[in-house]
Amino acid sequence: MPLDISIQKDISDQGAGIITVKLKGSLDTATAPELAEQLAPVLARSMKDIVFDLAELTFISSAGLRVFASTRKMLKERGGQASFVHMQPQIQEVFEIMKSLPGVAVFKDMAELDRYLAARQRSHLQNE
Amino acid sequence: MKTLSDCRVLIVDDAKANLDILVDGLKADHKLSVAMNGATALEVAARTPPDLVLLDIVMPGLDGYEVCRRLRQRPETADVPIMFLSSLEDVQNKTRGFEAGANDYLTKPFEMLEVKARVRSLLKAKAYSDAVKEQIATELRVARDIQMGMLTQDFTPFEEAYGVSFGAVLEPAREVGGDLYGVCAAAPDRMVMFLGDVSGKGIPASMFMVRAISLARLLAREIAEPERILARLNDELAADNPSGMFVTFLCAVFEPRSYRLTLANAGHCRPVLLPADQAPRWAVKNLGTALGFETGLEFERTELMLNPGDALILYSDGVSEAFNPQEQCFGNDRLLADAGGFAGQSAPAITASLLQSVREFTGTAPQSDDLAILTLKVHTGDRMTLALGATPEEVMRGVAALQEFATAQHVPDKATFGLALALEECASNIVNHALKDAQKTLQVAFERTGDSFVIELCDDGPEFDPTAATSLKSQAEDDDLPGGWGLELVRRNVDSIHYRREDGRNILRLIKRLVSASSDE
Repeated sequence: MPLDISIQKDISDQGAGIITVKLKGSLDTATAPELAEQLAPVLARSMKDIVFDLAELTFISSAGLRVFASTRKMLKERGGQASFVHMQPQIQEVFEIMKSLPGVAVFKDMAELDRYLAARQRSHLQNE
Repeated sequence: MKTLSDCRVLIVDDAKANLDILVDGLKADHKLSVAMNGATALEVAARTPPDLVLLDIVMPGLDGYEVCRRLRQRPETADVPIMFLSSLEDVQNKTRGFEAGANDYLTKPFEMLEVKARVRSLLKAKAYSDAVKEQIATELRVARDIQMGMLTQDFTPFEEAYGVSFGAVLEPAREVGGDLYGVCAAAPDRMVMFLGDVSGKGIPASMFMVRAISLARLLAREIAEPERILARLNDELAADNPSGMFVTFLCAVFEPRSYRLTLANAGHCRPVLLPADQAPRWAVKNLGTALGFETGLEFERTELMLNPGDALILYSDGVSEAFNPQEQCFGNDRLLADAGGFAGQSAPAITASLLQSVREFTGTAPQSDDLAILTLKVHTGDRMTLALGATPEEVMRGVAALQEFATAQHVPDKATFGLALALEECASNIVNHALKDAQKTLQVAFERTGDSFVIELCDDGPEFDPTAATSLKSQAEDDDLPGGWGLELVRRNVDSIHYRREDGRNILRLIKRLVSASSDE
């Protein structure tokens, strides 16, 4: 059960600087280290938000959750957060365990996420 | 149909003069055989069965009456026309001749013309009755084919869809009969099987059988509960039943995901439950009322588990009430006792063994009633074992094997996901903590037994109890849960976790109950 990882940077005005990580397959004890490895250079930059698109993620275990958890920890320290969209029901059930951690936001779909990010973007701009 | 000139007449007379007259008179019209005493007549008749016998009465040795009786006893001459030709004129002698089985009686001296006319008349009557019999036999053969065609013949689709196997046999006592059975795929998790026995035998029973089986097949697809299938079937059969026929009927619904078997009985012989590891017993307690008497009846429902390796035998009273030549009955006690010897056999083998038991018991006694057997056996939940290396990749190979195995065992997807997750968490824990040396192996086994699924993990690493909260070095992220997220996910996805240290090995058993899992879907 392999894991496909695709990391995209959104360069549109609205989502400026947001990284979307699409995961396909199984995020488990064998594949989690690879995700951590691929995220490391991304996190090394000073970005605040990462969106995990889990539409095609079919399996996840605590090894996968830990990668998400450490990612959201780094983002939270910078005032950002890890967002998750398109969770399948069985993934959602496993995810319950870390859903309430600070710096974690779960969205049903891209429209819901976009509205949220747009509002955040505005508040960032106002703060600057 | 044979022409009259093809018909063979056997002439039996101890007086050569009589023989010569008869031979002369008949040889132009028919084929002839002759015999000058009773014993020879029986030999000739056995060698070349005649179409008609002209029989003298007073002969040395066997007399004509005795020859006539013996011819009637043999199947090949049981129906052959026999005419006595005798000088005995008394009405007592004539009566005795007819009582021995003769069709006609002519006194000597006779007119040859009259003999010829009577021979022709008897042969014509015989030919007519033969033709009628042949037509009926032909129609019965076709009727039998139609009736047999209504029974489930190919069980392969059910066996593949429901993880079961079947064995079936139906033998009418006559060409057609009143026993019936069937299997219906009602829903992905619901299979209906039934077996019935219409009152009486032969054509009347077969007509009612056709009605019952057609209705049963329709209702089995429409209605989920066996007791309601019977209630509806009874209403339909009783509504228009001027001949007052009835059918005893056993209906069973099997749900392979939960192994639940629900039965309802309408006056039929109680089916035998043959558990894999226990003595056979009756699957239902009560008989109930047969179908067809009056509308509005209700039927009792029995629920039990038919686990992997268990079998259910439905049968008609052609089995339990088979008689041997000493007029003893096969009986329920013998049935249960014999069934105990069938444990471990396949469904077709159980069916064949039971049929053989009945055949051995009845011996030479003719089959007195229609006989039907339908056996269902649930496939054994095979145990799967594999050895995994102590690497994450090997753990995931085990997870993939479990998913494939569970799916093949009809475990619901949601439960399979939970089992896969539990295995992943436990196995990766063991690999990461107990078996740091990658040369070691982790033995895993999966087993579906009845309503639960068991995962067993076994390794010969240092003592390591993953269920002990302190055994896992919690990462900073999962400080909030004892044992960390991994153990928590295992707890959430199985019903019990058992660890033991035995012979220098760690043995961890995870048990998930599938009945509760499927009910909250």
